[in-house]
Amino acid sequence: MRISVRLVAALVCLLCVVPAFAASIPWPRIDRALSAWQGQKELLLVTATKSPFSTAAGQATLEQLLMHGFAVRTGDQVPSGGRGLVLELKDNDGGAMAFLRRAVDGAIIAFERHAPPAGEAPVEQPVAAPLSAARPVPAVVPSSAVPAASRPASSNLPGPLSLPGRPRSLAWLADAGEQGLDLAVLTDEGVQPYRLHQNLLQPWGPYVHGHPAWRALYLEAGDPDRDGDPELVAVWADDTRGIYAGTDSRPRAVVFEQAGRGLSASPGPRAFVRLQDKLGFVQYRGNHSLYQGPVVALDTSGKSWNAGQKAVAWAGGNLFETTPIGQQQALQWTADQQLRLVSRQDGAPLAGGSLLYDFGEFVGPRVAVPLETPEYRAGFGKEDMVRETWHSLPPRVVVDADGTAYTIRRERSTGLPLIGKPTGRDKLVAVRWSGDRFAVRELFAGIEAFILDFALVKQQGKVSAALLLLNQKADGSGEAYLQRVPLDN
Amino acid sequence: MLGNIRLLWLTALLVAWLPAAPATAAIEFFGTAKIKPTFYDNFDFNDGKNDAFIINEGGLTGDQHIRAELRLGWKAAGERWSVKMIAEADVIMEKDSADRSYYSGATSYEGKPNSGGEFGIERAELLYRFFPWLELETGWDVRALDIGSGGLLFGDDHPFLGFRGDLTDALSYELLYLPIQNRNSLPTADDDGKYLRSPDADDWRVYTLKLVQDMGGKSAALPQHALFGNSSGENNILSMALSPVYAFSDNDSAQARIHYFGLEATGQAGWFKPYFEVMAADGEFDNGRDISAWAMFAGLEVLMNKAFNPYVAFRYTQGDDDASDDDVEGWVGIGDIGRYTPLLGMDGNILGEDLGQSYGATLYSYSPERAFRTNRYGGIGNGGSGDNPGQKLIAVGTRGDLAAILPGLMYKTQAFFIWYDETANLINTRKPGEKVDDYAGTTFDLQLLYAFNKNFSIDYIFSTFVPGDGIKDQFGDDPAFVNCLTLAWTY
Repeated sequence: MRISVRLVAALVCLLCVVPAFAASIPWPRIDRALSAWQGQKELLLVTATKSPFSTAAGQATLEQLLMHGFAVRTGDQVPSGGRGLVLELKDNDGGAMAFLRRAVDGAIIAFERHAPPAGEAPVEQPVAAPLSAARPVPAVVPSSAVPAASRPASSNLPGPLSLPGRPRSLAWLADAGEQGLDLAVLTDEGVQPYRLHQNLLQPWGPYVHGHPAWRALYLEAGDPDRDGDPELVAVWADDTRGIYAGTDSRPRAVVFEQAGRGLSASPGPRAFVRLQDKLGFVQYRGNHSLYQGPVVALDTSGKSWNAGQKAVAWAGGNLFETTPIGQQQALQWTADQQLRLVSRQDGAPLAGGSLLYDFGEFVGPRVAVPLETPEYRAGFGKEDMVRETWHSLPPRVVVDADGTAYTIRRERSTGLPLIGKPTGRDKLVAVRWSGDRFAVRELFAGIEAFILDFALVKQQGKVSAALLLLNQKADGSGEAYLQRVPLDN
Repeated sequence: MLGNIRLLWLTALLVAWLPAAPATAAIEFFGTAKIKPTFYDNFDFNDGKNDAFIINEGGLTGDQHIRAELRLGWKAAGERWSVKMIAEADVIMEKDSADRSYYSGATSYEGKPNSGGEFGIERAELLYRFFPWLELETGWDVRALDIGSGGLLFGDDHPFLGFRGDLTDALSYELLYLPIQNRNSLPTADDDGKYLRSPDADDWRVYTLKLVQDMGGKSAALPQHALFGNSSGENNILSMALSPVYAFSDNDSAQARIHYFGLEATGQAGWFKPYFEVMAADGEFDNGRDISAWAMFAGLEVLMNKAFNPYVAFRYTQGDDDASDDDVEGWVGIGDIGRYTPLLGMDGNILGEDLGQSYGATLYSYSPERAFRTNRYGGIGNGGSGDNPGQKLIAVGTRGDLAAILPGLMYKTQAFFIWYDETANLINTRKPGEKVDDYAGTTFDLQLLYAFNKNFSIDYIFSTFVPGDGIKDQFGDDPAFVNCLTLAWTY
């Protein structure tokens, strides 16, 4: 019996030690080839850097080689007699690669590749081929059409930085040069501006609206009054609940201007508002519908901003369904959460403008709309009836000056209720229409958190980074984080 | 052991088969669990006497008790069809009902077998849509004719078979057959040679037709625009639905046949929400007595703000002025559903409880249809008397969201000032020989609800009926009370 216990203990130790040992070897496949090598134990290490052993990874590789008894050289000096080995290490967008060759003839005897870690490299995504010629033809994007982008290593990313409260949305305010950048986050209680400088997140004086029943929906930034100073529009849902009437969420917009180290607030329309650079758009909520009436321009001429009278061309969609790209075209969410390119004037799909790309099932902030005729689900009682419909707002779509649209790809799932764990990685993607085809680019390999919202940071008129509002839970009720991701377009 | 092996095999087969079974429908499960500690006090308006029993959904009860209404529902639906069923146990909580065990004898005091709270199918709704204008519907679920306004005529979960659909974009219909009672008198060996009633002698069948015409208009026509403007864009609505209603009550059990017809109107004009209905009954008993009565409801709610939305309403049911003549003029609907109407309804207020022992309004009903017991021709349990005194009710109230005080807190409060329409059939016990006073009394309701989250809430109802001289002349001087707490889980 004692022997059995010892045997089990030994096996357990072995099982623990072997993976740990294996995990410490940077190149396991190369390691097997090194073990099998019967020739001269000399090796030339070829890397792009002049001092390959200055990093932890380089030192681990050196240890691995020395452990096998190799005399390691660097530079371009071939092992004496040409009877040793050459280990060539490369690092590019596809990840790190190792080629092990015989020095005598250059034949590759082992190869190993490591995928890039999260947050490092872009992933190209082809777009599916068309299903029917009768439909608008979605374009197939060749790899060459997707511009490669060099991404910084994850170690260069600041954060993620923990955010207090339960922020639901964020916006970039301004570039503060050497001082960092200014941003603001939206919570149920108000708006909290911050200055982000390297890894320091410094809060300013917050704005607190003082309405206990308001619930954060989203935050917009732009300059619709064209005064050169950025403005914020925060939109909350004012939930009115009745014992026998269900919930009725009414949008409440508040306009903010930066005033020194704080924000000055003024009332905005009682409607949904979107800003797009120097333009603003408004749409009312209906009594029994999420939207009522056309999308109209935001009137910034008065003391307070209001909905204008004139309807704008909005592709026949509602405020969040459609995002204009210039005067003629617009991106539009379809019912199954895909994007398509349509005519901004009449909403007609454009040839080749169907993007068969799975953006995932994003569940944004919810808005309750009372049913005109409540449904008796279980009976007459107030608890037995369905009296409202909860609508989820789609993910943010931001269009840059060059026409590139940015949005969220929801790949992280919440898992099974109560017992499941979230899995998968949310991503930020860029969608670009090049005249006859779409190009979709995932801006980094994804992040193991739910991306609730994002904002683009511009420097000298160009998008230089994205600010991600992350949360451990899809509904924003978990721990929140801010992640800055440099973008190099 | 053999049983276990069989069970294992069965489970293995089931597991192997399940992934291969086609997913033919979307199925959802839902339910509610409500526990209602309640105190009924003085429903006879007399402190000196014990109340008679009171009927509620849990059974016969009175005084202090806890009712449990536990429901589990499921709905399977395809593109054109759906099947919904809701299982329920609705009991007054005690050992016998909870354990379903009676330790002496095999039946309860009501003569029921040892069953306690059965988990039976409380509601079933089976639908198939052939065309947008033709949907087959059957089962037993909530159906109503005027529950959107005053609830004078019909609302209940009786069995039904019928059709509904949209005839045009603005016109819809619902045609129903309701076998409310279908109690055959089948002969037995002991009946040999005896007189037998006809097979449908205790039946009660109702046929209904309701049309709904959408009369939506342009909101720019709202007077509030001219007076105040509407920069907020809220309550920017002008809608009206007109609903002609017809029902035929073939009431063999009451030996009466009644045609009901009327009109319901609901809608919204900016900040104002009107509610209106007018209903008439025209029929005859088999013995030749003529049934002729009418009723109406009118209400107006003003959507002032989040916390304060006042309303006024008038509810009228005709009373009978002489029980001894052949004219039966007291209004009796198929099933008065005032308790669940949008404006004056309150799920647990005193007028919506069973006041059959005094004022005469029974469970769900606001009108005093059981204040008299002759010439019955409808109402809940087919017990409404056509010789009832009728009702004139003026209501004032308000409701709203008290989130400014505490998010999740809501209220509704109202007062009803109630007169009898006719008092000739009522008996004055306080001053025998004198006419009963018209003023029946005043009710006051206050309901507070706090929602902890979307799955759990607690609400409390304080409701009282302060007798007027009309009640005092017949029963007593003491007010009646309901105190009801509802602990509600919704999932």
